[in-house]
Amino acid sequence: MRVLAILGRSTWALLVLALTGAVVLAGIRFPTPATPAVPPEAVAVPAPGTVLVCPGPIRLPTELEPGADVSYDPQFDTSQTASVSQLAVITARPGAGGAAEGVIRGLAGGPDLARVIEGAGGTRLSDPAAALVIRADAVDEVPAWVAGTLNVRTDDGDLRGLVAAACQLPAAQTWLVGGGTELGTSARLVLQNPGVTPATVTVRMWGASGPVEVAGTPEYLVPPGSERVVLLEGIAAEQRHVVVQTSAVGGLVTAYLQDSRMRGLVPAGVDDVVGGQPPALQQVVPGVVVVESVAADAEPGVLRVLAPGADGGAVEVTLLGAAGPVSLPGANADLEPGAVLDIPLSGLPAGSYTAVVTAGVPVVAGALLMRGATGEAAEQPSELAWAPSVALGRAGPLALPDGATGQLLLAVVPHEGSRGPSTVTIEAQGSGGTTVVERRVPEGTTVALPLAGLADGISGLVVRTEDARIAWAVVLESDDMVSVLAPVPPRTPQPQVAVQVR
Amino acid sequence: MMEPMSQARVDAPVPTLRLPVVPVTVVVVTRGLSDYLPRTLEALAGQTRPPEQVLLVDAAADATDGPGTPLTELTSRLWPDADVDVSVLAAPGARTMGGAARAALGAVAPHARTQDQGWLWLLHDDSAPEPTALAELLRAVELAPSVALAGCKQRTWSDPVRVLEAGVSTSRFGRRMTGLDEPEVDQGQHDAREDVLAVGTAGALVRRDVWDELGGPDPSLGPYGDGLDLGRRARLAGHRVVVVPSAVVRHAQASLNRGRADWDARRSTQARREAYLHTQLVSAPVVAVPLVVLLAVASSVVRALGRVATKEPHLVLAELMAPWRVLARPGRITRARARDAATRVVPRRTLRPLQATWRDVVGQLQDRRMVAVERRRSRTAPSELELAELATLRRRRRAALTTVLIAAAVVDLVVLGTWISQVVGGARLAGGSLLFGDAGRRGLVAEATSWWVSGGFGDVAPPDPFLAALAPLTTVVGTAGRAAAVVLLGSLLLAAVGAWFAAGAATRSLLLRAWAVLVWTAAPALLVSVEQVRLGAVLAHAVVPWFALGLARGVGAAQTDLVESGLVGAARLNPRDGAAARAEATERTADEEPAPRAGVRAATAEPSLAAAAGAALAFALLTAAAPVLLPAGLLVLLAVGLVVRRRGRLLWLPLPALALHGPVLVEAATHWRDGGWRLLLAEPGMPLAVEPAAPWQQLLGWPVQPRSWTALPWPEAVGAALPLVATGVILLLALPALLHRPPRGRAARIAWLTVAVGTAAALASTRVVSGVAETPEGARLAVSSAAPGISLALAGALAAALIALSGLRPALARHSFGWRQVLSGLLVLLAVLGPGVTLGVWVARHDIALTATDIPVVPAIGRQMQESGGLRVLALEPAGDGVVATVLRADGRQLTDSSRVLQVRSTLGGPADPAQSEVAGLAARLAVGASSDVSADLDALGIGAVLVPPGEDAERAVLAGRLDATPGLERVTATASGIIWRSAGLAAGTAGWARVLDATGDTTGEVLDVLPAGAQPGLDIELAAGDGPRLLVLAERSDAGWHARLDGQRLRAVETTWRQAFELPAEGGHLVVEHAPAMRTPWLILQAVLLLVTVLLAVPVRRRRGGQR
Repeated sequence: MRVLAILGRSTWALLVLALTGAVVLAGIRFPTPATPAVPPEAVAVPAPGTVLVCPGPIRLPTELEPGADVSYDPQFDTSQTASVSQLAVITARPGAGGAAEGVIRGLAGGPDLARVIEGAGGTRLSDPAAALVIRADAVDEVPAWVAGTLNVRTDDGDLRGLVAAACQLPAAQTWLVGGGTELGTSARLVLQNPGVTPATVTVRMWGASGPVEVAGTPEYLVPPGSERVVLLEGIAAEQRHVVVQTSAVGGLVTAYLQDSRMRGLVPAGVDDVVGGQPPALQQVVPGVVVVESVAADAEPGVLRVLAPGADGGAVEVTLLGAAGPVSLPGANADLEPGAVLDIPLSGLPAGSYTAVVTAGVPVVAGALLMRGATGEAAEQPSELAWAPSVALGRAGPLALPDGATGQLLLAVVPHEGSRGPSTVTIEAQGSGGTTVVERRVPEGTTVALPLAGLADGISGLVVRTEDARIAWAVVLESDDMVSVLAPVPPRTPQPQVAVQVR
Repeated sequence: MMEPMSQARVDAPVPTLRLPVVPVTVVVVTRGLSDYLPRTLEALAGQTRPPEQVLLVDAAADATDGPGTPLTELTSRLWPDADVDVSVLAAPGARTMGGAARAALGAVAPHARTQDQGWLWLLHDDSAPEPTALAELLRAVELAPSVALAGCKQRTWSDPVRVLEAGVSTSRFGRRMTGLDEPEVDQGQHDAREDVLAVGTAGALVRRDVWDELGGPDPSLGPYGDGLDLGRRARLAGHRVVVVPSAVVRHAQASLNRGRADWDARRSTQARREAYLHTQLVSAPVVAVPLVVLLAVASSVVRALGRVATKEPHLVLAELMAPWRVLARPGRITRARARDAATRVVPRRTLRPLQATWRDVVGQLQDRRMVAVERRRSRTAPSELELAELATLRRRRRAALTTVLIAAAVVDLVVLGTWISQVVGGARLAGGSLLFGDAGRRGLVAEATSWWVSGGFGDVAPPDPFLAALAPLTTVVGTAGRAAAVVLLGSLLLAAVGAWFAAGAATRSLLLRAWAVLVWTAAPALLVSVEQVRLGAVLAHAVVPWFALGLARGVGAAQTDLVESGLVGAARLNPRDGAAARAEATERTADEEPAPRAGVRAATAEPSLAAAAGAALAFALLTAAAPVLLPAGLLVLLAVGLVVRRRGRLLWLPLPALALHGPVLVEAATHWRDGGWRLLLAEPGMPLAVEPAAPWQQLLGWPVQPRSWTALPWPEAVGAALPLVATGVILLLALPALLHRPPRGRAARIAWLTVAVGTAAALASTRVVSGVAETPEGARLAVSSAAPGISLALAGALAAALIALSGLRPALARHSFGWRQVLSGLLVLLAVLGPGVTLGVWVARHDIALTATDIPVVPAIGRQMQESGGLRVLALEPAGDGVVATVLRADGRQLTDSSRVLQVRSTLGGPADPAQSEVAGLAARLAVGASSDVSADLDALGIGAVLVPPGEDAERAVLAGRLDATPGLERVTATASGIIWRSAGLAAGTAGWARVLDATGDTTGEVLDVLPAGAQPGLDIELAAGDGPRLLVLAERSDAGWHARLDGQRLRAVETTWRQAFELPAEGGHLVVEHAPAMRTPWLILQAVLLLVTVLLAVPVRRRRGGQR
């Protein structure tokens, strides 16, 4: 009896244990199912239209502006007669598709002033009285490849100099590396709102000794379709080196800085500072052309660098010349956080360069080119040009003014991961049609192509590249005047947006 | 058998034949020859004042007239001479005492001397009068001619002699009041009574003419309420009713009490209740009758629920049936009322002085309660010695419990303290699988009973039982989020409390219970679930012990401390008492003085209905928190049902859970082939993409692969294996329990079966895709957590281990020191070290995916839109090369919006959802920068604002810039919650939860009006009239459950792409829109009834024992 009971209990024990084992075995037999990712919904979106806002005409900093409170004394106006300005606009084929067409209107809208069509030397508008906007719809779901350039040449007066600036895409943030507010230097910040919503723009400034406390509240309401001018010397005077950041809330705006200088009564140059790249560990500034100066006290220019963040760090500058990288004496410096540093380019042999700024912390950079005698005692007028930093590897069009002289600079910035020379296709739109040039650029060098050699009566350029190491710009030079034209790459097409709805 | 003391009435003058003798006819009603009848007739024959006529009425169904029956033999033996006129009459049709008496009186010629001025003496077959009873009665009525009805003092039939009744009264509401609750020792305390409302029929002396006038008691009454009726009507007819305490009958109350073989508690309760209600309906003024009817029906429900609470489920039906049985025969009531009216000569209010007051009623209730308390006390601890023993035991147990709980609370505070302080400071918890729980008491109940899951654009799905599970705690702490916080942040303490009490059902050893607490609190199933913030799994882990405890107590398998009388020292070593008792006994005899004293031993407790109901509630809670445990738990219950004796209550046990899950189960069944069965395995809350552990690791207690222990420089393989060894040791300890003898061996087998079932549940959960998890890299399919199944398996293993370990000490004591002791010592060391180190490592390295924030997700302006208008806020967040669009209806995504049904549906694929596509299209347009006005599109989706949550990345700034430039959006503010844009539709008055459109167009017609929804999707407003036919378009998915009524008139639903729309006439009126599918109400009623009954059953109310009431 006892034996039977023990036997019974053992049987039960084995049964439940076997059941447990069987469960585990079944678990091994049926593995965990695959759990693939659930792709988000890909929503096709229409390619956005392109809006380019062109700078307005250059003005004396004391000139009365709509909405400005600066007193205007026409007695001192000595310049306008000698000023010749032109808006050049071209459109190009992004690839296989057709070229977009566009219209040019005033900033506030209004009637179409001109149409932008492909070829025929582009579209030209002489002496625009105010800022203009180029609007072009996408073609074949590819955003339009249009470009505009405002070119102003003033041979006489306080604003003597060459100003050439590309029309910009509105953005929420713009970094303007250039300008100053010391005595004789004026920095006229122009904020343009091409949208339909009012934008509030916050201006932040950095000077040589750190972030600049500006007078008053640095917030400016820019109504839709209008522009607002801020004289920086009015809100932060006596800043020799300036970097400006504008942040727009409520709408996208464009911002540029008209930097005009006087040395006593002698004009010392004028140029528009346009937006460069936001802070990054590497900045590339193409279009640094250094010429052999005849004057003894001539300075070829400076490279302006700022670490806007809370940390400073070492910065290294390499200049890519025609034969390869050239090191700039004294170019490796330490950046104080928030302090604008100007690195002089003196000592650099004449030539065309692309500046590559590498730092341990995010920095912004820009370059100032100077022509003529720049010393305090010099009596001849001098000239200046600001070159912004550009994004690498961006193909796109660039409009050139009538009779442009100068050179196209192409550089291959050394980059880990891809080595060797790069081939760039250049389409030059001229009076005789489009000329296509393929050019091989060795790594670490800057190749300068004279504009005159690309096409007759050149009206615009299209640079096509797939290489993410290419940086390019055009330096316009005529007589002793100079200006740098950095391309504004077209909006990248994004045919689909991955939307995950929760 | 003690003869009642011959009263101090010996000197009372016995009535003589001085006066003209009043003829007395005795009517004795019996059903055949009952056990009591001979004694009764003997007592009648022995009366000092013999009656003139005796009518013995046989009301048995097979009664026959004529000589030769046992009854005639009996009477002829007792009254051999013809001095008394004795007749035996058959009244086979008589149902009641009154009926039988009426039949007899009608059938027999009145005695020569009893014309119409005589007296009737009513006796039951079980009411034996004292010899002087009739004499005393007659003396009383002779002294007071106005008395028409005189009753006796009733005493118990057998020893000990107690007073049962001395006149009857009622409260104002007809509650029967005898003035004594329990039978009392007769010390003459009621002998002062005289005028009463009524007397019992046993031994009642009625004037013959009054009897004839009243027609005897109401034929509908009896055996309950007939005396009361007779007395009441006699009073109303202008006569006096007295009790004569000196006249005594001994009454066995056989027809009321359980003395009779065919006594049935249910039938007796129902009959008593019916008699009461009948009397009430008859005696109430005619205007009050409808009210009495209503009260009768309503009170029957309350009384039925009360019967449930007092654990008398067999009487529930009787209580419910009684009013209907009375009301089903209105003829009886009208006849009785007519009789009442015919004989009534004084108004009803004259009865008032005779009725008991409120104070009497309350006093009686208090007395009854105190008597019950006293009786219980004397039952549990008959002696001081035992009381002291119990107190010692209780003190030690409480000390151990306090120590264990303090330790658990400290660990809980160390690990979760930061979140606790934040939550106390008002922060909200989210993270892991937990969403915000802003729903308050009302909101949660509304969501838990709604078929409309209101998140996003709403969707139809049966309510998730998990929400109902959170409801009780939410009612206490205010919001669902706080309830979740209590469960999550108190999880270790909750687990410890549950483990302590549940372990008490398996062992009475305090050390073993403390060890069980350690194992349960250190269970990886709990620790991993806390890390992953799986609220359901954590709650399940906290509830499993209570379910086990309730089950064990409910089937009578739980151990409890039993006091033994102090003189049974030898009996403690009785081998039949089982190992545990011996362990206790050995322990005691070893270290305590040998003085004779009471002993306490572990014994199996009585099966408890309340505990079974508690287990049913725990099962409902458990399965709501972890639905995979529903099938698993049913399997365990089935196994338990096969081995226990009282399996009837096990049938009730899963019912509340099944009712709660019912709608979801129906959903699963209807879509079974399309994957609806996955619902059985899906878990509440947000799914998480977690790689589950291997099957054998799950068996060892780990839902995910444990991180290796790297404290010491041992090889990697050792570090990886140690956590598994630490938890697997429980299984090793659980093995020996299988060799125990029944009943503990049977419990061990059930426990091991639970291990298998729990592991199967864990493995099944991790082998079926049941949801879509959101990861930083995007959405991916996910399986459920293994933790709830592992918790169940661990509960089984722990129970078996406790059974094995509680038998360890006595087993070892039988052998001298040797390998057994060494091996056991090692195992015990491992058993303590394993969970201890597991918990320690977790405390040191825990990584809990929980965030507490007091920053709202939606800024105040957005909240205002959501609350006042039912508008939504579209949150856009850049992710990779796209955006994540979240449609917010409240301050962040809500716990109440998560639905297992919707989760499972989303894993199954299917046609693209047009609502989802529409919002995706809008989000894409907004993300790339829309150049045209978007407010119309936002209006159509019921979106009032667009939100970009806070963040530092550059994509966010770009997105914000594009939204800034978007026509139709106006930036309102940038706060810590992000940047919010208001739709132009708000200012234009075109944005609303419900829009009234021009009917000429489609759903794109011109917006005429917008109507706001409240916290719950729906409308209840006054609508103004319009110019022509209109269209009402809701920003909700269409469903057949949506109903709209304008002034009670149903509106016709209109087909649209996905929005619910109704045709609206030009007229205005009261507009009600609600989502109410047809099956909602029946389910709610079923769930409410089952839960209410189970809760009442689980309430620890003691059943009233004894007594006749």
